[in-house]
Amino acid sequence: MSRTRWGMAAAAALAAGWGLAATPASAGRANDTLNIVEILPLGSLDMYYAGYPQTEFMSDMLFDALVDYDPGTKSIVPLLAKSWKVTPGAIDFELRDDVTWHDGQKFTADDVVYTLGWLIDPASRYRFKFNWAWIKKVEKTGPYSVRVETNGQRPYDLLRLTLAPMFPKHVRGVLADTTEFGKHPVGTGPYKLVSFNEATNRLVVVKNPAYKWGGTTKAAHIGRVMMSTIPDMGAQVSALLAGKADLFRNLPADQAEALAKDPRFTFSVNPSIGTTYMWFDAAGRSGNKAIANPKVRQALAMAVDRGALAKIMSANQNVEQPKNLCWPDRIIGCAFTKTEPGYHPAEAKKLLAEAGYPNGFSVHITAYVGRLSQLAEAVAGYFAQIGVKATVEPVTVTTYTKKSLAGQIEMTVAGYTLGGLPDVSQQVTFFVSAADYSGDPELKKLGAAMDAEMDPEKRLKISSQFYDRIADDVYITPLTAMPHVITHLSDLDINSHSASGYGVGISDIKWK
Amino acid sequence: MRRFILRRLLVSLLVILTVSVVGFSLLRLSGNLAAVLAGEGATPADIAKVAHEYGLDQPLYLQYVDWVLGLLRGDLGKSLFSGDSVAHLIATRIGVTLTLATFSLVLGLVIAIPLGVVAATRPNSWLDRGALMLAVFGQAIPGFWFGLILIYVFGIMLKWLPISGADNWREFVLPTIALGVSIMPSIMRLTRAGMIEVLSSDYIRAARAAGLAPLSILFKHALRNAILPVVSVAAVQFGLLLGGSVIIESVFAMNGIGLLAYQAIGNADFPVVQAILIFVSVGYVVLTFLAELINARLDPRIRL
Amino acid sequence: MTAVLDTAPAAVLAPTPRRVMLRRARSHVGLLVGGAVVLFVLLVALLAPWIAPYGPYQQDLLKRLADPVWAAGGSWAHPLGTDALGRDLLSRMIWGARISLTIAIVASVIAATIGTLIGLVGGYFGGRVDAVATWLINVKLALPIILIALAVIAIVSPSVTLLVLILGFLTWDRYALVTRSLTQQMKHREFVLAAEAAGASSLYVMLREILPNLRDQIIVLVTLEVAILILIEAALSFLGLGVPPPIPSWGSIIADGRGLMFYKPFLMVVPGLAIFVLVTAINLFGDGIRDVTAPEGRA
Repeated sequence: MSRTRWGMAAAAALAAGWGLAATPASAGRANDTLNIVEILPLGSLDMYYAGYPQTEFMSDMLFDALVDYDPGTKSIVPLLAKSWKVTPGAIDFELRDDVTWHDGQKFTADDVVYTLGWLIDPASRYRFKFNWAWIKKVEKTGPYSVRVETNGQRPYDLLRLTLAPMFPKHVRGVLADTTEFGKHPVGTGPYKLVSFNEATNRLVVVKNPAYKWGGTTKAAHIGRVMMSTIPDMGAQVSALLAGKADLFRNLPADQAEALAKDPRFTFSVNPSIGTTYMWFDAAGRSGNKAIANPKVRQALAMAVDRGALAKIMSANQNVEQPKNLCWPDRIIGCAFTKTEPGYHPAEAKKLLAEAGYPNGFSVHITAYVGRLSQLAEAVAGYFAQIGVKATVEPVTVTTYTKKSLAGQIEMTVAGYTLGGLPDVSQQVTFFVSAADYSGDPELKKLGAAMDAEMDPEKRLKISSQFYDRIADDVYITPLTAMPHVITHLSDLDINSHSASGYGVGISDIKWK
Repeated sequence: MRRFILRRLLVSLLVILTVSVVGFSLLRLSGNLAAVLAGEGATPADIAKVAHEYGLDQPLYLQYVDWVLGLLRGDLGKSLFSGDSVAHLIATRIGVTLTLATFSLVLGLVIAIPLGVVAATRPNSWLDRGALMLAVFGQAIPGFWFGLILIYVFGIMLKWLPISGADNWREFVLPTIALGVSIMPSIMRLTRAGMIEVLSSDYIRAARAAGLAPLSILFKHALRNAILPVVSVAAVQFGLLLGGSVIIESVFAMNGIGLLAYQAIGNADFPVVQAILIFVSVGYVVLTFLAELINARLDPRIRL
Repeated sequence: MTAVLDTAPAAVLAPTPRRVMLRRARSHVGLLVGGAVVLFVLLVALLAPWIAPYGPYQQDLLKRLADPVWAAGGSWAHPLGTDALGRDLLSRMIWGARISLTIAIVASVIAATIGTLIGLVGGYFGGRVDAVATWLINVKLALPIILIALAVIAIVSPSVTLLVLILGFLTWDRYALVTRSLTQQMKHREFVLAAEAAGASSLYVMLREILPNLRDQIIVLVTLEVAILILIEAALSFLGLGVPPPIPSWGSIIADGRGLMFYKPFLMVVPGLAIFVLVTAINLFGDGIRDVTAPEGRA
């Protein structure tokens, strides 16, 4: 008996000790702390190694690029560079001379030469390296001036540099293994690192008191920001209910609406520059013969009720729906005359019969996990109505990329937010250069021409040919708008017009 | 005895070797490793270069030998997703999984053994039937669903307990129950069967005839003998719990190796999956081996 | 998956007269209740195309998340309500029963074939052959089922066929253990020795003399394994790597309802209860068959 009591006492002591050791998550307006919860782990804070939306959001707080994009005025604004001059073949930057790194060292031209130099160094190995192949050479032209030589000239070169955070040469440049930097980042941004615990995936940053070079696009309103990972949507909701989370994205719109019936919570809808779409293997790489048939693709494009599908992405929110893959008013260089074919199931069935598939066929839809695979499931439901048997394979972005490169995808139901870069060139890269499923050299040529055209008017003309061709041959057909739904405390004010691939920028969030 | 141990040791080593081949093939079958390592937009020349750097252009058996030698040095490779060393990833996460498995095992034993004992004292009584029914229920309830129900009832409706995470002991309560229930039935049945057998044996009858107190007979004499097989099964169950934690850890968002494995599978991060697979399998083999040693020590008749 | 010792082989029995078994069966409550539930679900699964009010993929995105009939806003048009895509939950459950049961039964048959073969050969020949069988069984036992299944399915990409195959190849160990030890006991019995003396081939002895005597045990095992496979399939589908959507299985229906459990708990409670009841019934039924065919083997 006495032994049992001892055991219980020991267990209680252990439990008490444990309880004390764990720091309670102190969040909320009272201590000016914003607690953001993500569904995917951060892994690293180095954007070049980990180009994920959640990394981008954090990277934006910790680092600065040479220039920034202001979605309000739709223009490029100064950041670490105070001015620049663009000529064919080169961009010359004048840098600010009053910028300091979080460790107190001064930011100079050497850091820019180091960062951009590393990006184009043949020895560097990281994802999306091809994004920087346009940079030929980077050289220092003074202590605070840099010349970036480019291979030719594209209309979006500067825009792309808004997504190139500058890294300190004296920290990252001396590491034997540069991947280490992403765990102990030192930047110039409006927030600086307090701690990043890999095991629990919890990151804490505080406002950088020295920060004065951000302008309006990078203003910091909140004193302390924490980010942690809860890999399950249900658990995220319960964390919100339990007061352990203040803001998260990814929650499907109808769940956000249901949650917002509780006055403590609300949600903001950012229309975003992306769309959801069906992307077909027109080239026949995957071996699905039916999908390679343009009539079949046309039938599938007509089999879905886009108006009803929009309910999945936007629930009862009134969100403008896309007519083609890009948004003329939100994306630079976007133009088209052809639009999606509308919902005509009877005609779709007729087309299938004409194409030689009166009894339908089987198709495998690859979709990103989460609300997009729900969208894919609904698409499969519409396909079933015209006799097409579809199964959905929900995959993560990494697996998707792997399959896509290997040519294993029959069709995709997915969404793309252009990595937060509002220029058609992103769609050219994504849909044509990186993974080509059209098998159409003419489309490739149009894409390349659109990429290189410096005259905005001429560029729009090519763009129109490009997107019309995609619509005519039904390589890709738009489904719905892809609003970012941000679920958060009613205490928070979210200005949701940012172009960020994350859905919201740090300067868009403040206490009411 | 020594021969028996040596023999079992040999079998265990053989099993571990086979498991390592399974793990190795799993990673190789997962796709072109060199292409994945080289990254997106890599040219065939880049891929060939990476293949050479990582020794992926060598004959398969050499790659296997290299890899096993690495394993023996504790080098489990690097994560394709984060670039971290896999050994480090597992080391930071294993604590949660071990804690959860231990708690669940203890909970399972604490419920199952007394229940089995009580049921055995009155076979076919309502108490016995109730205990057996409980075992049938415990066997039939899907663990992940039970976990969700616990979350709903205790986390959302009653708000008594936290429902996700693994940062303090309160967060372990619900997952422990969800996982513990799954091992309770087999231990209960085993205790009951063992107790019935022991209670009908001659020496217990003799003890009864000698006028020893019934409780003392039950716990001091009968249970001590009946519990031996339970101990060894418990060791095996612990191994199974490590593998079973994948589901419960994802339901409760606990940062253990089960969740790590699940996420790694999602991210096509097969070096991590492979390492966890081998870790869990080896854990199981070692525990089974220990269980057999215990059994053999206690019951010299056993010679498999 | 749980303790192998649960079904430790009972002493081999002399064939029981059919009449005695029937009498025992009729008075066995567990067998009757379990059997009735199993029969009911089997019928529902077989008759799905005729009794389901809607098709499994029939959706109405404008009628999403309708409440079940017992809730305030519910109606008999959708007795169990609708899911996030406006699909009738009752119909999905009925079709799901068909999918879940098919997978579990076919996988059990595959596993039974593999396991019985390994156990029979190992137990009958003994020596080196048995060492190989033991090695295979030990390797199988050491491999964590869920983890391997998840990994292989993720590599190959999910489909019902793959799921059946992988489950069949991952759950044969119990059959092998049981047949092996029963065969070991049986190979010294008179009828086997007599057949061998008469010059029967090993294959003949194994398949014609020993296997028929294992039938009852194997049937009991298949029944109990179907229950376990239903649970494994549900877990895999729940984790998103089992049955590919939109094909309904009870596990994937729980997964669909999981995110909505705070607002519409019935979407997750109903399929979970169904699994619980069916698996309980199968276990009662299987235990019942064991009691009836081999009363002394009761654990």
